This record gives sequence, structure tokens and C-alpha cells, in this order.
Amino acid sequence: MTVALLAFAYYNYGPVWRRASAPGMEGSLERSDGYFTVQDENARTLFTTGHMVTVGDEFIDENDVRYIVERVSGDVATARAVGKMEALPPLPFVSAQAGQGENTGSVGIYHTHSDESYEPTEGTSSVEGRGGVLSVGKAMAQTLDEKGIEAIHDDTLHGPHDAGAYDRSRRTATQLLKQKPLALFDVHRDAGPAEPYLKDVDGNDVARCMIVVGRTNPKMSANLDFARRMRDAVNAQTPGLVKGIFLGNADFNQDLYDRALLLEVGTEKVSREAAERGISLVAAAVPRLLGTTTGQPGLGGGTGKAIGWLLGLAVAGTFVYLWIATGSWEEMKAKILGWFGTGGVRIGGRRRDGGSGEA
Amino acid sequence: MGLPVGTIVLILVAVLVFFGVLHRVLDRMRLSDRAALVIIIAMAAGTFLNFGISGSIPIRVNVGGALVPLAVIIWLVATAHEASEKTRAILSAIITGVVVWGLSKVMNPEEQFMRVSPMLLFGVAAGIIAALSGRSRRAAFVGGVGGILLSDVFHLIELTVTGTPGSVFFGGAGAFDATVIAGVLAVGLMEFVGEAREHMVKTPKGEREQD
Repeated sequence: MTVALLAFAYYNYGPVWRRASAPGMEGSLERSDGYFTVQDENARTLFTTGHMVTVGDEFIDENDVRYIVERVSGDVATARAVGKMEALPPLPFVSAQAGQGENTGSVGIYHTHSDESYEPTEGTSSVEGRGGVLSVGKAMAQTLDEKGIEAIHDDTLHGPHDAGAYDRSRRTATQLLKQKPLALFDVHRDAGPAEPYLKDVDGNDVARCMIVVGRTNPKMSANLDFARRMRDAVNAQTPGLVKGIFLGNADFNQDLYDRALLLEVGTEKVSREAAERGISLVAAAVPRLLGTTTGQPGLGGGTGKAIGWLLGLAVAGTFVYLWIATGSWEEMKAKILGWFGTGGVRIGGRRRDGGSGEA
Repeated sequence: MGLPVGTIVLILVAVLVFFGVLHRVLDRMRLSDRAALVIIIAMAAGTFLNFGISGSIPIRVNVGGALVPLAVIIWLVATAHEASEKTRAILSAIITGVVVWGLSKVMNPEEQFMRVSPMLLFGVAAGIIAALSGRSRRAAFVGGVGGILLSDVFHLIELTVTGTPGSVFFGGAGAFDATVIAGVLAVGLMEFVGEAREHMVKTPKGEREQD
């Protein structure tokens, strides 16, 4: 049984170089160290990324134009432009001191892939235990502190870089959220060539950033709302620093919080110094971002969907609870009918096995 | 941060339902209602308590997510009537632990390749394996919870043997930690299988097999 399960898992979720099974990718083989180029219908490159790209993934560019990936062939994905996103609603109760550097709370930073590194500086793309991305997170924290926002930089190592990394980092993220940060960032670096991820700012190479939102998580709409506001806040200070927002086929632990985002800062081909400069500029815009969102309900445009998800889960959970509590569908039905008929039901009351709860 | 009242209420309902299921699961294992409630409260309150063990590999243990469930499964094994059930429960935990740890090795590290979120995958996999190998509610619960805890022990051994820098965190992702999901699902599956079997063989009322 164990062997069969492992074989099944390997077949379904195995390494990309073994089998690319995502819809639209039938028969293609990918390199573990490769990257995808995502183009529009006119073969214009929108972005490159080391993230797995599948049909249905989306990209929202600097100008808020939304693209949906319709075809993936080898390393090239083709996305169709579906128009501009609906404008973000103005936020009421905007702090009069927004962006003035006042202390607006804390921000959590952690690294699921704590090994990710920058080849020009560290000589390799992965250093278990002291990946360059940890220094990038530290640079972000320093800038936030300078701007009057308390940064909680958790440099817990989640290695090795395997399928358990997100499960391990979930525990770190959960612990960080207990400190009630205003935002939570999982800082990574992307994979691919340096050039699309570099920008000249005052004569210095600066790594650009891409925000990643998991499109399978129930808080996706709220995360995306926050991501768009972040992109606009950063690009208002440093135009073009945030390349855009990638909506990938995962949840990246973003179901934990509506202001949880994954940041890709440069690729393994840019220097760590450029990445540190890039993230510092991103962090410099955070007071402006949080200033415009502090005091808001917090779920942004995703409130409706999040409530829908929770409602669905609650209803499903109630049925499961009733079923377990009553012991059979018949008794559950009788209890529910009795509820309406007699005005009450004693959940978890009588058990058919006489209440011994024998295991 | 100001969540809308409706959202807060719904989150509370979802958590209460989840705890209700957990309560029922514990109740099914010969724990009294009061004991089950105490355990749930200890798990909920204990999620805010961590203690660290310093060493070459930092270890953090969450009281609610690891220590309390560990105490429960030790009690369950210790009070099992039959030696065969004790053995089956321990074996179930070992098998589950090996498979869960193995899954993290053979699966692609990029989350987009996983059709099930890692949050659920390890808990669900552990629950299924534990139910299959435990074959009783008690052994299934021990297998599910113990399996996830053991997979973290295997992770610790892996880091030690390979000399990979890293850290180990037992529990800590709250009520939806893989540890809790695994235990609840394992017992839930046993209930489901028991019900299905009962309906299939149409056992006369009162003669349902108690496993």
C-alpha cells in the first residue's frame, strides 16, 4: 500500500523533468532549472519566471491589464489580454498622515525557500542555511524600521527545498500572524535571466520585484486587491519597480491572511546587492501602502468571496458534524426534521451504541 | 485591523464546527465529554505556547499542536485493551510517518504542481493511511497524529544525517495544522467505513461491530 501511494504521488506530483501533466502541457518536458517565458498573442514577452505556468494562470501588468494563460508549449506560454482590471475602489477613512512615516503597526517577513541565493554574489543559486534571500529580507526589515514600521523578520530555515517547505513555513507564518502584523510577506527570488528583472535607478542596478498571488486560495480576491494597491504604491515612488502580479495555481499559505503576499525579488542571475536595493525601495513604499489601508475593513475587494467560502465551509462542516454526532443519515435527517418540528435538537446527544464511545 | 462582524461570526462558526467534530472524535475514543473539552481547550490555548530546544538544529515545539496531541495518543496506546491494537496503533503511526516524510521527498517542491494544497495534502494523506493501517478509531487517531509528529522527527533525522542547516517545528499551524487534520480525518474515515459496512451487510440494529 505504501509503495503504491508513493508511486501514485510520484506519478501525479513528480518532478517537472519527469512529467509535465498540467492541462495544455501534454507531452512537454521541462527542466528543473529552466524558466517560462510568457508572451502575449503578438509574441511580445510579458514576463519570465521560474514559477510553473499552467493554463488558467493570470498576469496583471504594471498598467493593470489582465492576461490569462491559454496555451503552454515547452517553455513558452501564451496569454490573451482580456482588458483592464476594474479600477480599485477608493478607500474611505484614509489616514490624513498616510505616508508620513508614522508608526502604523508591524509587518511580518519570512522565507519559505530560505536557501534561495544570487549567483553573482554567492556563486550558487542555493545555499542551505544561509541563502542570500535572508539578507534581502533583512534589508526589507531595516528599511521598514527606518520608516517607522516595526518589522518582524523571521529567518527560520525551512530547508531542504522540498515539497514540505510550504507546510513547514505555514507554521512560521501562523506564529507571525499571532503578532497581528498589518501585512505578511514571504520573500523569494525568481529564476530566469537577469535582464527582465533589472532596472537602472540613479545609475545603480536594482532588482525588480514580481508579486505572486495564489489563485487557489479562498482569500485570493483580497490578496489580489492588496497586491494591486502595493504595486501602485511602489510604482508611484519608483516607476516600473514592480513588474506585475502573477496569479499561480497554488495558495502559497495566503489563505492564512488577506494581506499575505509572496514577493519575487530578482532572479538567481542578479546580484544580491541589486536585490537588496530593490527590496529597500519596495519597503520604502510600504508606509504609503499601509497608510491608505490602515483602518479599513481589511478584506478589500475579496470580502464577498471570502465570506462565500467561509459560509460554504461552515455549512459543509455542520452537515459533517451532524452526521458524526447522530451516527447515520437517517438519524441526522430525523434530527433535522425534529429540529423544525419540535423547535430543538440535541446535537451529540444519544448515540446508537449506547454512548460508550468505544474505540 | 477591523474585520467585518459577519466575517468574524462566520470564522467563529467554522472554528466551532471544526472543534465540534474534534470533540466528537475524542468522544468516540472512550474519553468523557469533559475530558474531550479539556483537551480541545488545551490544544486551542496551547497554540500560543512554544518552547525551543537549542542545539545545532533549532527545535520549536508548540504545546497545543504537538505536546497535547502527543499526550493524548500516548494515553490512547497505554489504555488500549488488546496488545494487538497497541501494536497496530504504533505500526500505523510509523507507516504514516514514513509515507508523509516520503511524500515530501518525491513530490515536486513547487507548490503549483500539487493539486492539493500542502496544508491539506499531508494531513489528508496521513488520515487515509492511518485509517487503512489502523483499522480502529483509536489506532487510526494514533496513526494520523503520531504519523505527522513522526514525519517531523524524520525531518530532524534527515537534517542531522545530511548536515543540512534547518529547523524543526512540531505543530504550530493552529487548528488546521496537519497534525490535527490527520487525527480528525483518520477517525472520520473509520466512522464512514463503519457506517458504509453496516449498511452494506445490513447488520441488525444493536449488533453493529464495534471496532
